[in-house]
Amino acid sequence: MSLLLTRRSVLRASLALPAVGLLAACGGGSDKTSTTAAESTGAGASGTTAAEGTPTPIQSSGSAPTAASSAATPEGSPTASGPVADVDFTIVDGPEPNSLDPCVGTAYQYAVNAIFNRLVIWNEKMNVEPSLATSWTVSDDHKSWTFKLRENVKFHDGSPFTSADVKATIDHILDPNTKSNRRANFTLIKEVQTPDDLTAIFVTDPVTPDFPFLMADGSANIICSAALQKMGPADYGRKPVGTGPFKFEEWVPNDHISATINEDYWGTKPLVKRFVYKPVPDPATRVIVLKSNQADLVFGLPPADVPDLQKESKLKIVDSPSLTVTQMQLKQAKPPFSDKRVRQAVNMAVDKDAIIKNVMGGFARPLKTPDCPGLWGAFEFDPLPYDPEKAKQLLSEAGFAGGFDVTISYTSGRWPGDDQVVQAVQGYWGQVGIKATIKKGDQATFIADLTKDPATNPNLVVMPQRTSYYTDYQLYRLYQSDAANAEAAQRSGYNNPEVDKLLAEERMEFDPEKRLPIFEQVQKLIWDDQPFLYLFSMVNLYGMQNNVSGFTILPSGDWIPGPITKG
Amino acid sequence: MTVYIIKRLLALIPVLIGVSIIIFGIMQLIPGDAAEVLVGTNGSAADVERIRESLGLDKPIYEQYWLFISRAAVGNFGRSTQTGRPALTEFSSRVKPTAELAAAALLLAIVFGMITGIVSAVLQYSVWDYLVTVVSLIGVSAPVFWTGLMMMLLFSVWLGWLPATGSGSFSRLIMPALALGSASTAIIARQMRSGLLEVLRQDYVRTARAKGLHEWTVIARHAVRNALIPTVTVVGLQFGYLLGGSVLTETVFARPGVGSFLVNSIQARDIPVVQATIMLLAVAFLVVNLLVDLLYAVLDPRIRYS
Repeated sequence: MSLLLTRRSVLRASLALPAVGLLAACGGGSDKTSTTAAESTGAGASGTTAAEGTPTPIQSSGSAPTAASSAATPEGSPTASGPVADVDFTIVDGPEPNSLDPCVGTAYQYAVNAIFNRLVIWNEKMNVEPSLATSWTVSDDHKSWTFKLRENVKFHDGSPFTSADVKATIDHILDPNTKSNRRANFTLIKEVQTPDDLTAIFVTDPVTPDFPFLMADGSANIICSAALQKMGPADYGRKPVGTGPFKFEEWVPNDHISATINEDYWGTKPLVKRFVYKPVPDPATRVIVLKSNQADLVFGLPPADVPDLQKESKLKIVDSPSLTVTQMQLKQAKPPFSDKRVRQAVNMAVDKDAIIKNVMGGFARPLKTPDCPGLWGAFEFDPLPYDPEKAKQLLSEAGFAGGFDVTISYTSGRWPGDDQVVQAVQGYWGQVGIKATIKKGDQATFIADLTKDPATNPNLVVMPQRTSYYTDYQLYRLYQSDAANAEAAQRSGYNNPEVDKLLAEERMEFDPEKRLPIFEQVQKLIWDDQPFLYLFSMVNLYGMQNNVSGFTILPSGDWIPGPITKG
Repeated sequence: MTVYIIKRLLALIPVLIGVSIIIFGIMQLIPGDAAEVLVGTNGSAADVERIRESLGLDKPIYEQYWLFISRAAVGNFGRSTQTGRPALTEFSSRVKPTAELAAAALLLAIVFGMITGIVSAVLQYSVWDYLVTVVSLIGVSAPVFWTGLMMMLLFSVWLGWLPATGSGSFSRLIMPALALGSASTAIIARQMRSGLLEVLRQDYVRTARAKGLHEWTVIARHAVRNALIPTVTVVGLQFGYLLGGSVLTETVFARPGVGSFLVNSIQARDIPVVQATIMLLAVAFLVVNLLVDLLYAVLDPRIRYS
């Protein structure tokens, strides 16, 4: 054996090596601690109130988006209501984003809200307000939409915001190489014209009264064309450049994303210096992060832990309305679910109020509409009562007195309580003779089931959560029968020609007064058909430290960075 | 010796090809694909088709595999379907925290495992021996997600000494390393104990004692050295366990790293990243075990490689 080193020295070295590695690994800096020393900035000295800097709604509540055509905002008047505190504002939730490119990201992204702006932004009533656009009009033939853009807005890299960036954003979404997950919604845009720097004209085919809503979609956050060109799409998704209140700082994968305050922000400036998003995948760990004050705001709390958290004096547990609905979709191209009586029976067999109370801890709302509750154009109806006897009777009328077998497919861990909800439904269905097998898969397995052909999978039930931002979007993609339609994500096999006819009508109707009755009529038809097991609508449930104020999360899931303070 | 090392390294190639075929096969067998995950539950069938095309997932399986393996041969694992960045870049940006964690856990396991193993062998059937046995059993049996949460509850919520999550500093490494290393510590301690007990019964140990050496010199110089070979084998295998255990540990402590990344990528059906990660982890595991084999020769002069 010809070793240069003696056995003894190698032994010694082999013991020492891991120690050296460990020391080197751990020497990389001490914990970052946030200080509470307030720091006064120039902007803070103006003494104006936050309200003055906030864009005012341009539509009265309940009106349709087409009515929008005014410029009622204090353009380019950046104000802040106090000194910016040199503190971090940390949000924790489960998922790690795959990209911060607004049209590519798969998980809902708090950081995108902090870094980017859209042309228009949702408000609490799910109507749109001016953001980077100050006003908009539609042409008489309804084919083109003209958006006037805000002056003197700069991207974080210093380049000015112009209509070219609006065009670049749409081009980027439509580029097949971008792999945007919402591309199909934008294919109706045939052309973006930019007659001058502050005007963008969208030409659509087919025409749509919902166009401003489309511009409020998270995918339509305005990207910086100069930066995109310089960096290329993959890197842009990693180091995004926007016009928002916070500038991207760094992204340590699976650890945190941070952004610092944008001193040149055109709108209401936040009162905290730094925004941090931390993904914490395990719900039990999220509870600990909240309890040990290592985050200001924590989403995705297990309902079972909430009563305990509510007892903590230094925490606030908040729930606010959400557009997300939980339903079980019944594949209904063939028996058993092609029979309306069977679908009504599966709804009557389940005590939804008991599930909301006992499984969801009260943090869910009864679902009374095929739409998303809270949207303009959503109509509510009486849910079918919990009546297992009637359910059995309906089943035997439909020829299923002996019950039948089904498989419920879902993804575990996407929202707190999901496992128990499925088990509860399994139990209720069992009482009327429907034997359900639970198939718990990861997201990819579940989506494969979701998109399976209803004609060849008649006994399959899938439990997706749906979030729609406007009524037509929810109704058309879930209940329009043509599954081959590019926009429809409908794979349940639901088919009602009358519903199809009314949906085709409403989506061409620009007069909101005429559109509402059609919405009501079509939803009544759908509700009568009961194509799904309508379980409940979710709430945005989060816990925050007592010293945080001014945090708002909209039903759409967007949060408003503006008025947040930490005292 | 050099020839032996080269031979062993060359033997990696068929192993890696085998690994790649198995992973590729498994990823094809499980339902769902990357395009469906990217589009999610709110997209449409048209979006899925278009993304599938642009990722090349519409090509025949053998063509996809050939494309992958021919590129991988020159170190190009393709691009992540999730982020669009090279799979190797994604992997390497997450290696450091996992390497820190595995090294710290292994160091803890070696130091505490050997010390407690030696103590319990030398003081066989004493209170200390029983204590080590009981604690080892707990260490092996308690899952990381339980010990991890209990530690967080104690040190982060009640005492407020350590941050519960994250990475990048020593204070954030302590709890994950303890949680991950506890099972390995116990296994190494048990192995050290039984190895040492056997050696202590050998004639040469009696000889060493007979010539009047101090008891600790007998143990340290003559007994422990000879008991190390089976222990070193276990340490080498523990490395594989630690890589696997890092998945749970990283998830519980919300630590960035290869483990949690691998799980995310499997869930997203991100084949390029899964392939790159598993193949590189396989290389690391095989290299560690080669080092263990070489260490035998260092520990026991009678072992030669040619």
